[in-house]
Amino acid sequence: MIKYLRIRYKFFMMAALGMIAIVLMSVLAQSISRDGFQRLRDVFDDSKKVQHIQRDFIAPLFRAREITLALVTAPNNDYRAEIKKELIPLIEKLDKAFPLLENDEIQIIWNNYKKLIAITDAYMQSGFEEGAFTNVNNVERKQFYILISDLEKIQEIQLDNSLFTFEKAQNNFYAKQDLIVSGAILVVVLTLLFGFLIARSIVFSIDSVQNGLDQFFALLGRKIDKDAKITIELSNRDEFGDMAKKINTNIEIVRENLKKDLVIIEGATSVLNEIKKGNLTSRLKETASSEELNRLQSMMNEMLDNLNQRIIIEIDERTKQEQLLIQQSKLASMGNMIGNIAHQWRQPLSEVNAILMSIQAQKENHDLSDESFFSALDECDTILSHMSNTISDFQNFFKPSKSKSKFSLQEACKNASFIIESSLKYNQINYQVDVIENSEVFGYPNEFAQAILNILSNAKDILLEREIQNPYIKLTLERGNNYALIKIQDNGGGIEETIMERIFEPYFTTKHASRGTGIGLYMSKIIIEANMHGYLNACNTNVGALFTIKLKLETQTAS
Amino acid sequence: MIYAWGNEKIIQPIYYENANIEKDLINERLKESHIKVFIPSIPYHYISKLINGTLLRIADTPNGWEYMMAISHLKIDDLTYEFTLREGVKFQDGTYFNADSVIHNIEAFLKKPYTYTDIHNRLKSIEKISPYKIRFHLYKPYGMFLHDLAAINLYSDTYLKKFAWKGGATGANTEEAGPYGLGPYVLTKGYAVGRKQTSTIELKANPYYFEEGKPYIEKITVYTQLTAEESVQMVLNKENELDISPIPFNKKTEATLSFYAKLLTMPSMNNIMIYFNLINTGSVLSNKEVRIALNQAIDQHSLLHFVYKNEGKIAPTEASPNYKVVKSATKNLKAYGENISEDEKNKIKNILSGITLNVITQDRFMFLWKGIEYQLNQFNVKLNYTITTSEKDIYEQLLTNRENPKMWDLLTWGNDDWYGNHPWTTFFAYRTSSEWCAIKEDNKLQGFIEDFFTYSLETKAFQNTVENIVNQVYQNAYMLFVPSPNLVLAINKEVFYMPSSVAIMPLWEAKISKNHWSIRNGNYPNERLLPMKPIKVLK
Repeated sequence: MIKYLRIRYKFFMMAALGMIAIVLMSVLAQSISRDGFQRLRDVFDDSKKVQHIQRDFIAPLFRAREITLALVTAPNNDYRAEIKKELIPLIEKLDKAFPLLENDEIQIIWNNYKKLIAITDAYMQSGFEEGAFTNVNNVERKQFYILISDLEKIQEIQLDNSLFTFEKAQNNFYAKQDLIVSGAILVVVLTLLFGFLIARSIVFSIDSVQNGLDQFFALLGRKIDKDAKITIELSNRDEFGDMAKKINTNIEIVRENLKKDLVIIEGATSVLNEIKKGNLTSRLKETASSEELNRLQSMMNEMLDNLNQRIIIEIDERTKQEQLLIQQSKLASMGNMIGNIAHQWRQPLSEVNAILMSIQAQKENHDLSDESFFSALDECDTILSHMSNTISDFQNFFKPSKSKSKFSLQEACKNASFIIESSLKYNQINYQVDVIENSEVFGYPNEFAQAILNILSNAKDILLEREIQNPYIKLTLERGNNYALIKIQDNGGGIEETIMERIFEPYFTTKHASRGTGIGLYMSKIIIEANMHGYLNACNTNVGALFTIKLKLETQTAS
Repeated sequence: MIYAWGNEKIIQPIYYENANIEKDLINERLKESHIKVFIPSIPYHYISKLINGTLLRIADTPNGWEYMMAISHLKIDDLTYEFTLREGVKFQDGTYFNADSVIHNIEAFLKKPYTYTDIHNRLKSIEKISPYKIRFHLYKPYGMFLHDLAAINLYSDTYLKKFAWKGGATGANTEEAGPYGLGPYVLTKGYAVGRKQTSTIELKANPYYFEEGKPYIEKITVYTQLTAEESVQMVLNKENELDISPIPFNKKTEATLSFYAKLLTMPSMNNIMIYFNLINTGSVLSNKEVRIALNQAIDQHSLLHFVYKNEGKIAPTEASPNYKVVKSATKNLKAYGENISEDEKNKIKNILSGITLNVITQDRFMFLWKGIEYQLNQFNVKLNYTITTSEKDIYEQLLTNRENPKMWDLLTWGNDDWYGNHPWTTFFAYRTSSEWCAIKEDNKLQGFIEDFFTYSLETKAFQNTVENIVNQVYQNAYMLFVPSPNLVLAINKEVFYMPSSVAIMPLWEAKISKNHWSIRNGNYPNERLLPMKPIKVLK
């Protein structure tokens, strides 16, 4: 029934129900107030009766009692006459008041009390002060309190009446209050029930629409199959029913569009996959329902064309640069190598020169014996053979390792040291190798030795460039639990902090263009970290630079 | 104590029995009949009046006396009085009384008379006219002569031989128990002579007493030194401990409600004498201004109402205005404390502030002293008390003061009218030649007193002299003047006794009822426990 009502009617019904409840409550509350007023008046009337006893009997009696006592204590008849002027009208007033109580017993007690007052007075008049004193403080006093007590009892009864009236009013109030509470509960229950039904109907409609929309958005988000049935099932004839119909219609339109868009998206994905594979020639051919997608499609194709073009240019550029670099590196290596060979050869060449000069001198002096001549030839031969070996060593050193192999770090370092040792000595650079413990690692021994050589060469260049007094280079070989550690430190003043982060970048050099290619440390970094999975870091000590190479020990690497 | 019956809600008034017990009175003297009496003031005098005979007896009569051992007299001239004696009367020892007995006594008296009147200067001789007629001769007229004859006891020859007359400030009172007098009672135990007394004195009916059938009660025990509290307890709360006793005024209600006693009040000529010690010259009281200020500080109206419970009269001097002549003499005087303005109060305060006074008093006057103290405290006067239960201690301080001044400043003495409706009872304390006087010197006053001796009570000259004396005493504020008291007695319900307003206890007239404790068999009847209407004797 409810679902056939429009929402505005549902709200109107709820409001109407509330209004009816308020009107009912108001009528009840008015009724309670009217009754309460009446009861209050009853309580007030009863209280007045209580007060009447106090005002018209008890208070005047206390006054009379006080006056009688004053009569007895008065020093003489003049005072007594004055006091009696007050007493007589008081007694007359009480005389008139007591019959109104219509209580025979109290009337008799009053009459007797009055008589006792008269006796006190008579005793005083006759000068029998002792009798008056005794009377007033004994029998008269006792009679007074009996009278007061009886009046208080009447007062108490009237107070009880007042209380009874009050309680009646209270009970009536509570009964009405119960009615109000019951009515309120009924109205609240009805309102809640009706509200619940209406709310459930509305919430059901909202839920249905929400579900439909969720599915629709899932469809849009391709979380569900594009062919899945999405319809908001709502039979309500209210505003939500209308909304559901409209949404259903739109879902179908959107679904069709989506199908078209999906085709182009799939095309785009396919194109991107091709690009990923390196095929930059693939292009998006399908068209979508939405103009934006179509625009996207043309922009994508255009972007791919541009990209393709730029990659080709970049590759060309890079290839040229690399070739140049390689060339430079080769030249530098060659220069170094020649320099090193020159240093290696300086001594034997001098020796050969000396032998030749000796032979020449002996010849000129005709002192050259065959024995000496052949001896000198043998000697030169030995030296030249040694020089030839040196060349072989150099060749071997710069020959790339064929494959990864286990090698001794000490050996590799020795090889590197051998290449540069003569140059260092020549330049009076103190070179010290401190093998604390040797290690064997798994990798490319020649490349590793080249890396060491690069670092040593850099150190040598700095020491020379900065003309350091008592220059030295120290190579330390240590072994840890998991790693082998190679430290190379010098006293060349260290690396400037500003360039510390950049020293391992390719083409970065502080050397004169003629001496540095900026490739040495870069290569070393590549060899240690990329090829041998080690670590190469640089930092400054107090006196110079410290390069640290950390390599996993052979056993672990091997395993 | 609640006397209520019937409907418990209707309280009946207390029923007061009429004091009329005449129908139950015993009109003969029963051997067991016995009453007990407390006499706190001048017991020697009261006892003397009970045991001794005198020619005249002080009485509640306009002239203050009645005939006792004389039956008539004749004033022949101002210096000669003739008396006819009662015939056939015997002394308590059985010897006959006649003119010789009187002559023996008067002759003994003349040898050593008392000095508290002027008899010793006025009486010349006595002459026997016949066995029952005698004649007195005076040196000079003496208006108080008849009152003096009421004070000269007539002893038996045996007593005269043994004790003679000894004069003295308190008179020659019987010094020893024995049948020595002519009065209705014989002293059988104890004695009271003034400055000496026993605490208990016993009297027994005189079988030879001249009034036939009297006394009606065989035995009387007299207490002389009870405290006020003791006497009240004994007379009001016990049936057989005390039959007649003066009570403090504030005990009137208890007396009214007592099971055993009734209240009797009567105007009296008793005087409460509050002496200023003017013999002690160092005392601040030597200053008349201080004495007047002290009297001004006393509001007699308040004392009368709150302390005397209206049992007394305002008295401008210490002499009771119940003396007709005093009333007349003081009609133009008002009590010092009346109508004192605030300014006057301030002046009084300036005079009195800081004064401390030593008071000596009998315990029974403390109720009055508390009232006086309250009033004097308003003026920063402090009182130090010396309290005694016995009058003899008061006499000791008063009667030796002149020869050996004492340190008290104020002394109270209950001076009952021992002289018989005659103001000499109080005036004798102004005579500076007497031990009874605490005034150091006042020649003018002494002159008035000399005149006073001469004139008879009924004369105009006497009236004038009284006025002079009263004025002189008033002007000089020789005493602290307080209201003169009524006689307030508690009397056993079963005793019929009518006191006298003068200082005599006519106990020979007293009777007891058949319900009296001394003669009753069985318990005291319940109906007799009801309170009795007080007896107010109006004189």
